[in-house]
Amino acid sequence: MTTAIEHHPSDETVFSYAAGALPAALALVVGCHLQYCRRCRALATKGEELGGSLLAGLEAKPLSAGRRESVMAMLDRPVAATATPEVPAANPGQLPSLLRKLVGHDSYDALAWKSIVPGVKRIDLQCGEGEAMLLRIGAGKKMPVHSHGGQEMTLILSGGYRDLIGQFNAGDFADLDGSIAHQPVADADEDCICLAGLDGPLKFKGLIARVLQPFFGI
Amino acid sequence: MADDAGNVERNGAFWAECMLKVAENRDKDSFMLLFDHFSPRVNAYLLGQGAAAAMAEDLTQEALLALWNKAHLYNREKAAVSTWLFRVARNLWIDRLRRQRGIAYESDENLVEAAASEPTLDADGERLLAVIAQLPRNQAQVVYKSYYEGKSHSEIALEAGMPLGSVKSSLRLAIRALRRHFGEAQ
Repeated sequence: MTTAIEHHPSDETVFSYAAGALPAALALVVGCHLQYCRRCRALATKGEELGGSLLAGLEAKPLSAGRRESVMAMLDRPVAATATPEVPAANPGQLPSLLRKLVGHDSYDALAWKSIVPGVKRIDLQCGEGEAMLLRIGAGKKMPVHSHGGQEMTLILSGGYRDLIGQFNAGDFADLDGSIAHQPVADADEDCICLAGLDGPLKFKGLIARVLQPFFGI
Repeated sequence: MADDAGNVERNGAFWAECMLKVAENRDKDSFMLLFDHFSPRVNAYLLGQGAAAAMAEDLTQEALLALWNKAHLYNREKAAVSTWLFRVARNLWIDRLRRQRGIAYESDENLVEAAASEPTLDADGERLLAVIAQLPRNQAQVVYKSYYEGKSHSEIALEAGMPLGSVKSSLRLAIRALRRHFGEAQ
């Protein structure tokens, strides 16, 4: 990273990620931010340490008879070699590896962008819980003003934008709740590519109030 | 913190030692000590997340076998055994039952490598639990629902009839208390 990351997910967002408690769309955005951000990785590790402590403190629920023996019998089985870990770090202009796995490309230009309003293109990502999408705002273009009934999380992948909160550059994370209406304006010199996740009412369909945004098509 | 020979206290350092023996010598006795201690707890975690009994046991078995097969990736400077198992169990659960969420986490190998650089104190776990025990009820509840039930902020808000903002601020205050603890512990 040449520029420091200035905007991070809230502590509670990172801890819920560590707990495995974020809907998939939001977890994807946080997971990708972690690939850019050492600070948030360290915080997520703290959240996982808490998870480990809580697990260790749980009241034991023994496995049924026979499980122990069958596990012992499996210890001598040969194991497939473990792949060498990939380097998780991500750089601006390069897809984070989690996203690369999901879309199957490592270049933004190779993706099938669809125009939604003049100057703004989108790709829907299949994630099952909530809604995740890639957005590409043309250089110098404005997003329509929008807010969201639930949580909206955005990670800048490439380029930058400015809104009422401030300037956002690659690696920066906008952790918004429904109360904020914003209108990002992409930097003049290059397209701004973002990963956005919306908290979806998948499990409680219709119960969570949210502002339907024609621009998001939801 | 070792007592007399033959009566060693089974704390974080002890379990890390067992992992080392598994990694270096494929020591089955050490592995079975780990298995007997942690499998009922991993099982309890998965049952709490809503896994059916047979599924919880299958995943527990898988998590413990991952510990046997990937022990060489374990680094005691970076994580307690309980933290390592928590990650493995969380990822297995997310991958298997809530397949969609599996897109958002690194593989176990990467998680080990990506851990923060600050070493975890072996005996830290109990102190963390003490911090949780002292939290106000609503804060402890939000932590509980996040970790044991895997509920999102919105789900907790809906279930508890709380505004989303209150769920978040409760969790934020709980984390602040924990961070104070981390700050003191380092």
